[in-house]
Amino acid sequence: MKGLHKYLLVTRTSIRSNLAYTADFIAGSFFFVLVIFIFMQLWQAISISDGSTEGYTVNRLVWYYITAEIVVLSKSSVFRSMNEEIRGGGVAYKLNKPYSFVMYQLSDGIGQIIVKLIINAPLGLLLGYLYVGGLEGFRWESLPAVILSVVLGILLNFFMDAFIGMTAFWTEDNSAFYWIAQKLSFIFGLLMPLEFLPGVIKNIAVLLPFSYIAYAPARLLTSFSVGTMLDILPVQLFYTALFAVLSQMLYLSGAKKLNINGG
Amino acid sequence: MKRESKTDNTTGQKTTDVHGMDGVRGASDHSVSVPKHLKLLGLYIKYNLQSAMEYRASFISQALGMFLNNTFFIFFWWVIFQKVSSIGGYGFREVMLIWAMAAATFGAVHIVFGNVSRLPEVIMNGGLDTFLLQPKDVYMSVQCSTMNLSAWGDLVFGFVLFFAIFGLDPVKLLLFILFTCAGGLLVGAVLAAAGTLTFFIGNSSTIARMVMEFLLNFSLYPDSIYAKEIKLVMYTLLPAGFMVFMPIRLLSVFSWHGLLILLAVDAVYVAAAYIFFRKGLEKYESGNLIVTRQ
Repeated sequence: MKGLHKYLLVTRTSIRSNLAYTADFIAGSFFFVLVIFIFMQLWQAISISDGSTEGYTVNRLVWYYITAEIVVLSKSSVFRSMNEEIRGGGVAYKLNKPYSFVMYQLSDGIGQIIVKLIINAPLGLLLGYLYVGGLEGFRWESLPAVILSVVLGILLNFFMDAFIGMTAFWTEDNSAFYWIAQKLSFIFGLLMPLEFLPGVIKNIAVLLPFSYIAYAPARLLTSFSVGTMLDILPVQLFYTALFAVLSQMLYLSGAKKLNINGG
Repeated sequence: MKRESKTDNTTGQKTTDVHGMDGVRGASDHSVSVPKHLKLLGLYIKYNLQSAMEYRASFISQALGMFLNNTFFIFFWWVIFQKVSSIGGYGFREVMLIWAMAAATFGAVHIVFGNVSRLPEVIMNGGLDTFLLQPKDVYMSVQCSTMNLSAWGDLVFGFVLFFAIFGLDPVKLLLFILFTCAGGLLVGAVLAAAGTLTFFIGNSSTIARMVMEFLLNFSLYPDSIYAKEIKLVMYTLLPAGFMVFMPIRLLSVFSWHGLLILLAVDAVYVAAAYIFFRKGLEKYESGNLIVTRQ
């Protein structure tokens, strides 16, 4: 527990620091409302045009999208932060500190994530209720699995961003990697359920980690069954652990070739 | 006029300053000579591009990354149109035209007016001092002094999509170029106006960011999915309608009347943003910030 105390302090400081930026809060909330509003209009228009929505009603599609957006928008700025630390040489000041660099970033990131969740989750629930009412066929017993899946989705997103951010040790500019990974997670789960994808692409998407960021929790909420839960949660857990280990390995490997000039 | 490649130490951002300081005439003398300013605009683009080419790998990766980034959304729309034949009267081809117009316009804005999104920070940090000392128009200089490299990916994407839709149709291509330039000026004007609010309220960076997000998002989906009230906003406060939707209608069914109305509206927005900035500039107070520019 003593070892964890320092990380809890980092998280607490991060929460306080993020709560101070009210303007960013407001901007983030407006953006959240905007994208939810646009997608509500889009699904409504598709449904009016008698489009096939793979068994999803507008109600379930809206709730799917809200859940997926809550996960994706409640992310930390770990990619930007790692880039700045590594490129700017700030990482040098952290090398000799009595903590793990990755754990430090995680603790700081959790602070940001908590603050964003405090805003996004109630706002998303409110928007959903106001627009389409409660989720059709919602089962209370699904809630623990959905919450666990949301947490795992957010952590997986964090470690994937950290993994890409760590490539700054080797590359001059890694933003293209970040954009591509981000858009893969949008296509494979955020913008639409995987069931919308053509057969072969869907089968590939189910195997990729990107689907386990937003699709997994949104699917669990809107189509809960014990079978779905057993299909989704172990894979989500596996990918989260895998990217956590890969981030740590990449950091250790990158730190060895770190070259800092000046002080 | 001499060229100096510079790195702004306050932001770490690489910029290119094309002003010679030997001809400084003071902040109040900004002769609005259109040919001279167009020439200066050309020089800004040229030198910013040359500066970008110094870091060729970074430039190409950013532009290519943005191009790929947009391609993912085309995939999204392709999947959606496998499920439905039209959304509010828009088919796949029309939605692609929306994306072509929006990508080219936003690309052009951030290539030519790369600093427009940073206007609130520039004003707040006293960064206008540098531009006020230069013998050219402050409004143009501050916006054109940097170039967003990834925006090249947007611009190229817009034109690739245009050719995929219309092929080599010279008349439509000329119109597309005209609409890209006009729309670019319009977006630049709206973003600059949002940034200019900083002169009056102290910090408008959040408002500017929201304006950018709303304008962009309203430009990427068929306007027919929205209610009348939202459409009203799209043709006034956040003129995505004049930026994307009216141009694509003119590309499909051209009319001189429509073209003249569009260009007149764009001109009104651009002039209003310029006047608003000049009014705001009267309130500007230097922070006496001393910045080392190398």
